[in-house]
Amino acid sequence: MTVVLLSLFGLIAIGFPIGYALGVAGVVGMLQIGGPEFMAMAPQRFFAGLDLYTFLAMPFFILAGEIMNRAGITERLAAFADSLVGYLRGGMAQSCMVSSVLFAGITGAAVAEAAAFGNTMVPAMEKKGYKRPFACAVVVAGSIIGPTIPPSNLMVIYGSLMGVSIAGLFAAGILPGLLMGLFCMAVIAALGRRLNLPKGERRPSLIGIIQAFRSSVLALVMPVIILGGILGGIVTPTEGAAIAVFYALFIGTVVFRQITFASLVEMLVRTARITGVVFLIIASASILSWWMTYERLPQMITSLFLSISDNPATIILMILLLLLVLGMFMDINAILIILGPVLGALAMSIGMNPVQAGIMIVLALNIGLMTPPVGASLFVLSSVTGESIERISAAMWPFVIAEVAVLFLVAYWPGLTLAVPRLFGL
Amino acid sequence: MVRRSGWAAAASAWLDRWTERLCALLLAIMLLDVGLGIFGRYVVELPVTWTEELARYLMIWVALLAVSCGVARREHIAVTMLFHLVPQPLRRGLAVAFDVLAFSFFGFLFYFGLGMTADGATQYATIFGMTMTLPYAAVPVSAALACLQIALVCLRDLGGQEAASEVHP
Repeated sequence: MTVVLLSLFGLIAIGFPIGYALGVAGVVGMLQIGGPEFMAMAPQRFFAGLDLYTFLAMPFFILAGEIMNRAGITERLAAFADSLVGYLRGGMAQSCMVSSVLFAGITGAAVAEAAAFGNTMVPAMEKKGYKRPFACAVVVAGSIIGPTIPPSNLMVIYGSLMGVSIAGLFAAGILPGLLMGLFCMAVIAALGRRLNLPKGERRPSLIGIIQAFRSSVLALVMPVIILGGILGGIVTPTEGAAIAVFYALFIGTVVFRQITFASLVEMLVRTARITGVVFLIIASASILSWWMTYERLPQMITSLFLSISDNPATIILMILLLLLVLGMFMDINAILIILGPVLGALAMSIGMNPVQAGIMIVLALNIGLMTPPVGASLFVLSSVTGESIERISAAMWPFVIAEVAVLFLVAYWPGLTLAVPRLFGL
Repeated sequence: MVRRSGWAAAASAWLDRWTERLCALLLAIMLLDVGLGIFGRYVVELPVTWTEELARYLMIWVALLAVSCGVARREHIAVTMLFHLVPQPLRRGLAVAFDVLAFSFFGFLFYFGLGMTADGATQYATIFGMTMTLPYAAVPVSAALACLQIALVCLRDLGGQEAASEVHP
């Protein structure tokens, strides 16, 4: 067992791609168990790890986000957000945060949002006199809201693996996501005077808000329709995701006329490439997780936790700390597939609701996207804007604290996650 | 040196371009297939029970074929902090060792995936008359493609500029 774990963490630490390392470690584990019938398990697990209908929602939501972005939705949402909060001190940062919340209803992955916003909003904020590290920090913090408010790829993975209702998880993510947006806006407001953030140039006007709303209403109703369908139990998450793509295509081609055939092909290609990277990790992790189950590692982890404490609050704290620390160094999809089922079952065994446990785990991992040294959103912003990871991280800690505060509220206050699912009878 | 590996770079790029086009086509078919399923369930009642299963197998084919595209541009996520601290000559050696190990992994998947695919001939999918050969074949085919790409990019990066395995979204 030590050989497998050493090869896994050793290989990842020295820079071997995570998707390969998971598979290599899994195969090493199977070789150790021995026998040719175990070797044959590897490709079977590799295949079966992906053979879930619910997983289709992931490429579809990625594609829908790409199309909406290309159709000019990001700018329209940003203009609407600006009409609402742009007049405040730090108005551009505030409207960037509101845009993140609005865009969260369309996208299911933080990284795509971080790239789109980093390209447009960071230069815009810089031009208005914001410091670049701070502008980057705002975008990174906002990007975490994307996969917290549904749709969310991690919720699809967690729900599929654990047999928890994906619709229920989607519903449960709404309030924590909005709260994260509010907390981050409070951080911007609190920092406004100290960092001398520029004030907005004009007063808010009702007419301005109505105009911006009308120009972005087609984008704003998309999450309402799609999520309404999924939460209302009318369509499955996969069907909802496909409908999102068709809706985005309709808006992009017929209404806004921004999407050409060539650009559609390009977006299909990009979606396929992203899917390949993410799904390799899922498939390889399935090999490793089969080995883990065979070696009864989940039971060992669980009893280790329970041997330290049998107080539910303490166990939840340990789960959170483990996920936050791992999230600093590892790819969050890999952690979710390998440890999600173990920790989810542990949380349920101490009486936590499965949906609340799922949101807690997903949110803790999402925060891993923004924490140095290894955070995917952080990397994207750094590569898109050319700002150093160290300086973005230094500007970001107030936002990290705000979002970790939401995580703790999720973990210790069941009502925050469960109120909306109950409303929908999920 | 550069010229000697030029053909590897060209071959890798050519393979990458055609694989990604195939992936885009399969993705579009997958979308239409799920669309047909929705249409057949909510709009006009159609006897289409196979759309879910077809979509699943298409998704697996798209995802696994695209793995080789990730290889071609070194897009697979890695934690490269320590890697970049390694001195240059050693780093190059390490990059080659990584490629050899990755090649072995996909070679393993290819070899045992062939066996799985052969066994699939006696298992039936719920799609009318279809065996599991075609779905299972996604594993050995894409593993072979990944092996080929790993070999090509290894030659390319040995001959060209320094071996870069960067972190990409």
